[in-house]
Amino acid sequence: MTEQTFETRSIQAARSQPQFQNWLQPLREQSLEQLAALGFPTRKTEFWRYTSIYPLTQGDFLRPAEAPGANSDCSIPGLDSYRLVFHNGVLDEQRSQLKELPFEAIPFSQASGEQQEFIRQHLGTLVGSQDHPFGLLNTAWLQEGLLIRIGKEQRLDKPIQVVFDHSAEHSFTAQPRLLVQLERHAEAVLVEHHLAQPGDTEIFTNTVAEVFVAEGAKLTHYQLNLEPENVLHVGNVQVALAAHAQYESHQVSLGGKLKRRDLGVNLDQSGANARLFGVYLGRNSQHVDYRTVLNHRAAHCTSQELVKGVLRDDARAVFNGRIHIYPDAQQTLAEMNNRNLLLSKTAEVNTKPELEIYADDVKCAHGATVGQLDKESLFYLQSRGIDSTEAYRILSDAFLYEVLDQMPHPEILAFVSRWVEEFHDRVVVEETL
Amino acid sequence: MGSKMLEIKNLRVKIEDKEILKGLNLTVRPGEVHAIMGPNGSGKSTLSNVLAGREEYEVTGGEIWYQGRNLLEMEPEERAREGIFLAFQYPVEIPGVSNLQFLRTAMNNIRKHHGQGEIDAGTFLKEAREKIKVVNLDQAFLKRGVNEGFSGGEKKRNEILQMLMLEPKLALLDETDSGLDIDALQVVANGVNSLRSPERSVVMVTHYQRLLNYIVPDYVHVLMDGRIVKSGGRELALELEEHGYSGLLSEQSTGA
Repeated sequence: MTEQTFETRSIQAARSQPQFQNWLQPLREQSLEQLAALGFPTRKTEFWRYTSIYPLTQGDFLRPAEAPGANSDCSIPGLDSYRLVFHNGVLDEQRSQLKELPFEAIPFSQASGEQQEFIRQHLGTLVGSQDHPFGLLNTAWLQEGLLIRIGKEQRLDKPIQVVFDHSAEHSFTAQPRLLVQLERHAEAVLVEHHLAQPGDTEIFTNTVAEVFVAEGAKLTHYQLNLEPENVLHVGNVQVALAAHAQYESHQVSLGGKLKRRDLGVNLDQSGANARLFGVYLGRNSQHVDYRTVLNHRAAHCTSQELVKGVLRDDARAVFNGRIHIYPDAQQTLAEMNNRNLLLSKTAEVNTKPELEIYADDVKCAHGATVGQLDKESLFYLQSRGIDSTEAYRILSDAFLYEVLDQMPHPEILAFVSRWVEEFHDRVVVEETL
Repeated sequence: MGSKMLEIKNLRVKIEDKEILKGLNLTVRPGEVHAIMGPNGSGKSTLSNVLAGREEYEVTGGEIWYQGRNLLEMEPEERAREGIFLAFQYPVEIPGVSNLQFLRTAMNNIRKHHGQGEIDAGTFLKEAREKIKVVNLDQAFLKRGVNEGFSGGEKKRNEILQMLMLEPKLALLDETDSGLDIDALQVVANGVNSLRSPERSVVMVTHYQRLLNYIVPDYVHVLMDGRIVKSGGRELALELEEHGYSGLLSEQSTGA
């Protein structure tokens, strides 16, 4: 038996996926070529230095799910939303609201001529240019996608919730794809909600979203990565901001055997503004790799980023945040902070904030910290009668909620809080000291 | 004499291999207010921290009995629940935890220990609003992070607010007077005096006798080089003020 590399197997698998819409074939083939040229990362690949894709090479992932398993409960209590559901990477039309919407939500396979043209012009333009093989794999694999467009000057009355649900009896890969556009002065809230049925069967999900925010439009984007440990997840969100566009993201990532999130924001025209808030939580021997790139390409843009991580047990996390200020991006204000709290001696974080500045009139700041719970604070709480377990909870919550409290939707905050609570369950406080 | 609130026998304590307390004896009965005075480095803060249960201090000898129980076997939170309160010399800032949340959690922990249910939210809020007036802090401080961005004086007053809310049996004041102007000192003293009762005791550790003008002690002890070298009434503090610790020391050595 000849051992084929993961690379060879991936390319073959992507190529052998059925012909999907003729008009998208050229893009798929182009992505295949790019992928073959680029290859998958090794430990020597800078962008993947601390994350090994080894677990991915070990399973029988490179095939679609044969039959959808059970549906997960994807409701967020109290949150009324327009819900669109991908199940195992395929659009689940039964669970999705595709009609009577105040915006466009069209599967690629049902796109009209004008929509096809839009998709052809935009799809892959943001991920294709990156050194991200998984983005290319998603395009090469393409079997369906969802186009979401919000018309100009429209303000949606409730959030769009896009669910990525997974369940099956055997290992498989889901390669769902989103293309989002907010036209001029539109306003919307998009909730990406990733989840799966827990179990022994490992699943590989590789999601890509490309987001175009036109002049003066505003998108609030939640990314809730709440998959159980049997999901190996790679996710990529790339955003392009036109003049005075605003983008605000709230990410929450639980750890997994392999979890890698890439968020790239391109501030392409003057006056654009990006605010990125993120939290990652790792326990057991989970791994989470959290990566952001802010490309400041025009003048008078601002970006603000605050990402916090809490790691317990033997969990590992990677943070790599990059701010790139191009020569034309004068009068830029950019600020990035990554803070980490280690709750055990064996938890580990690799944090690397990077600044690259090619303009001279800019204000940039970045910082990164890795620390333990403050013993003085713990003693202070104990000296008031609060036991050490509760004191620990109070202090780590205070650390996390500085970020989580930025969420503008109380229902989503309450929903996330339950996951945070579960994360802290059965922690051994002695470990922290 | 009645029962004992606190009894310290021949206490020896070291920190990082340096012996700080070298055989300290002290007895405090219910209702009494004791002042422990001494120069810098004499072991004053060590004493209050050991009583509160700070783990960096290693007790190498002696005993501490609190209401008939071996204090050294109790965790810091258990000491607090049994009525010991330390007003910190340097209170810690805890951003992200509001004063209200903190006080309520502390009170409920203590109540639970005594078999009581959680305090009703309305009652709690009313009480907090009343008591913050006593320490002359704006109501807005209740919603701010614990000590977050507070001035030195505000932190000390916040300690007294906590003390008023938790109503301890034994209050330990660790140099609570340092860095306070006279107005703030009066506020702090009023708070402490309002708690004085036949069931409660206060041990205040201080460098200056000024505090004793506002909280009048029953006993004054002089702590030097890890031992109490002299005890007396209120007048001992005045004597110290006049002659200084060195004066007392020379008197000691000539007397010996």
